Amino acid sequence: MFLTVQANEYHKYPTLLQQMFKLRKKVFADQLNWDVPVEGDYEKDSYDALNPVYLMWCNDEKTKLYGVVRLMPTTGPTLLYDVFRKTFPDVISFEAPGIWEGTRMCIDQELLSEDHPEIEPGYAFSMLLLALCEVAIKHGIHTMVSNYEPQMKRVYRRAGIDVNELGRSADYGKYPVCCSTFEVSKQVLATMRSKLGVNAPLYQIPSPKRSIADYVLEAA
Amino acid sequence: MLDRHYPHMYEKACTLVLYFAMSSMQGYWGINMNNQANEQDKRRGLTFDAIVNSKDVEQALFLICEQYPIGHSTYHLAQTIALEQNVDAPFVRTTYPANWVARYLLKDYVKIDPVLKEGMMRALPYDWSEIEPSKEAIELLIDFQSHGLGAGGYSIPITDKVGRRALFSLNSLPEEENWGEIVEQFKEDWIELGQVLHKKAIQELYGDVDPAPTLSPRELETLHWTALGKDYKDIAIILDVSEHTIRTYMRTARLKLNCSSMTQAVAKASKLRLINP
Repeated sequence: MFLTVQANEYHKYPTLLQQMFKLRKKVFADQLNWDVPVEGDYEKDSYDALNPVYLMWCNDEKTKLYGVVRLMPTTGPTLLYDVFRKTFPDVISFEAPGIWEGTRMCIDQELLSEDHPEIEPGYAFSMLLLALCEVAIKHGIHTMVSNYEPQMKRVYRRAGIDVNELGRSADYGKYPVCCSTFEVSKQVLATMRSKLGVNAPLYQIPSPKRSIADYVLEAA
Repeated sequence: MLDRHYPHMYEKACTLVLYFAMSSMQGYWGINMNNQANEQDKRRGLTFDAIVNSKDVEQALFLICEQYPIGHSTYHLAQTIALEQNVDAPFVRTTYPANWVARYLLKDYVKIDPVLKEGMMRALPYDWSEIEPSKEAIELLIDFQSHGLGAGGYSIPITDKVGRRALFSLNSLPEEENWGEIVEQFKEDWIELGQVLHKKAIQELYGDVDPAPTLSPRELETLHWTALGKDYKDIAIILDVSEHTIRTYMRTARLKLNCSSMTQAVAKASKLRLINP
């Protein structure tokens, strides 16, 4: 299942959050050699302290994390703004409500192939992108800014996302890191769904079974 | 006659008639849908200008309520949030009736208000139906409704570059039955207006007015070509980037210049000598 976890609910998912910081260390520090801050088993930076939203892909019991992406509004402080603003002035222009940044997007290939051997890695990444697109539309987001290594561009394209590269930074890791934007709309969502052969929503806004209003009506 | 000698022509004629009928129908529906979109954009533009030109945040909130099918709206800026403490010395403006505001202050509801409590932690906009129904939250909402206020609500968290946090909340009309649809239709506009309102509040509080915002080279180029009468499709070809990217530059440039339309943004950029078309 796909789940958005925000600061008001961090305390509900300590295990998933721990797994996320570990997975990020494994992927970004160990495998990709990105210059990211590592504390023991965790990869955690100053932006994690700013109450970002984590879109998590986990099992239905919410005990195993398969993938994650961190979301922040571009009106506030963001990683890509800080990293790219010196070299790429156009990146900084992408600050407006409705434009969000997605960073540290990764998949736990090992865990996923144990539980879902039928899902191949590229497809898994695409599923996470599709869920991201759904989350964005549900919350009035029309544009995403994102960073990734050049070879990932294929995965975005295959998922039906048309990325517009704004710039590349060479001093990030082994390979240059691209900064791109892409459109999020109902049309893009339809294209993605048909390319990936998915015809039902992957994501639902987490909400209580009974809302406050239901309780109030009952009391009245 | 035609059908006997030229059956294929007849068929073709019929197809053509059908085609024209269909295309004009499509045109009709297309126009209708465009009208609705234009209508909504006009409403957004009017509200945008109303906020910018309003006397203060409070007046701006009343103007927002005039434009949309909502009961009330509130803007709440948390100036300082100390850990383990309550929101401190906030700047709050609202259209709620005086008796509810008095009640809220008297009961010190700020300490338990679930909309506010969650809003300062959340980053994504949310409907009040997403809030955890705690005991205090239910009690507060019962009291809220007994003051004749609607049960539906939508809140938009705002964060700015210096890390200030604010919450813009819209409250439904009492007895509103289509709140979900209203939110669906207007949420993107409200998210934009929330940012305009936030600028207004910062201006009211600190007198922070930035007459010449920093625009990126691409934003300036987009404004320049718009001034010369090009639309986003033309500019996408000229600058060799996607149409969506140009539309995004238009939006960010417009918002940085605090303008409701591109026409206004171009005029303001020329006046500030940011462009020389």
